[in-house]
Amino acid sequence: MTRPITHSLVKALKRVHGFDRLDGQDLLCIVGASVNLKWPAGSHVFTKGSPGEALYVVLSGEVRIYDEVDDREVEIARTGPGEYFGEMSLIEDTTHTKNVQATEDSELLVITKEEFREILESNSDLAKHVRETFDARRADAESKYQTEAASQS
Amino acid sequence: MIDVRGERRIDRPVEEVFEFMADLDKLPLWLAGCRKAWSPDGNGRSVGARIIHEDEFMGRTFEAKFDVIEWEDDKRAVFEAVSGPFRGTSEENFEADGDATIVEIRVHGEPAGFLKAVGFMAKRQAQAQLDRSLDNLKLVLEG
Repeated sequence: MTRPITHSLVKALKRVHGFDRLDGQDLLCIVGASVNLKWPAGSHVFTKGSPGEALYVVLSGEVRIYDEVDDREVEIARTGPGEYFGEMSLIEDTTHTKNVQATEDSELLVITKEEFREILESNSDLAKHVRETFDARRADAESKYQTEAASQS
Repeated sequence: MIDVRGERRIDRPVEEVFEFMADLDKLPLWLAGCRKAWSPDGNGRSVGARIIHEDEFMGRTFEAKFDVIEWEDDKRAVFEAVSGPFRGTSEENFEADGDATIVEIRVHGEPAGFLKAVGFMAKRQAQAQLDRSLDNLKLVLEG
């Protein structure tokens, strides 16, 4: 009989939308190939224009995703435990198109680009979920930009 | 590859700046991420001495060991990291500028351990940590 995996990071990943479709062994592989690090409140995880190198899963705390348009900040989203970010630049293979800043002390699981791509190749359910999330977020961002533009005109 | 440098002009004499930075008990006052430092070889102020740090980096705590590979009072000290999430050298250069001191720190090497997996972040974080250390140094010494 297979023993259940009790690793705390596996349990945390199991609570992340999309990753809940993976089995314990797959999640354990992801945990083994990733690193959990902490960002103090106010620090930037990455900035617009920097290379997309990883997917970030929020384990605790909160980050805000924002852009700067005509010297004004447009907040796109706030992301907390059980959610991930950074997938846009990985899917499109571009530099980051937004800034991400910790709004409180935050612990993130950092999954490198190479590892993330391997995971997607072997897990079509997760790949579908990530793609859907990507499309929804892009549509949401477009809507925020239009709202911002309308408020300026 | 990590290759970062920074320098500050500190409005204190070079002997005082060097003495402060060489004092392992004072390391946590200025070196970002350092919680404690000691040497099993006395005060750690000679070539061949080992210096051990208890450090914290992005929520991770670890012990890092350094060997002193160059030491010249009031001029230069070079440390080689032999364990911890970084392998390479850290150079400290001191130059008198009237009654003030120009302090330069260079860090050169490769990420290791947990940092190796996220090596893309290492250079940016190393530069941020170095800048913070130099700012701390200036603040503490100039008061």
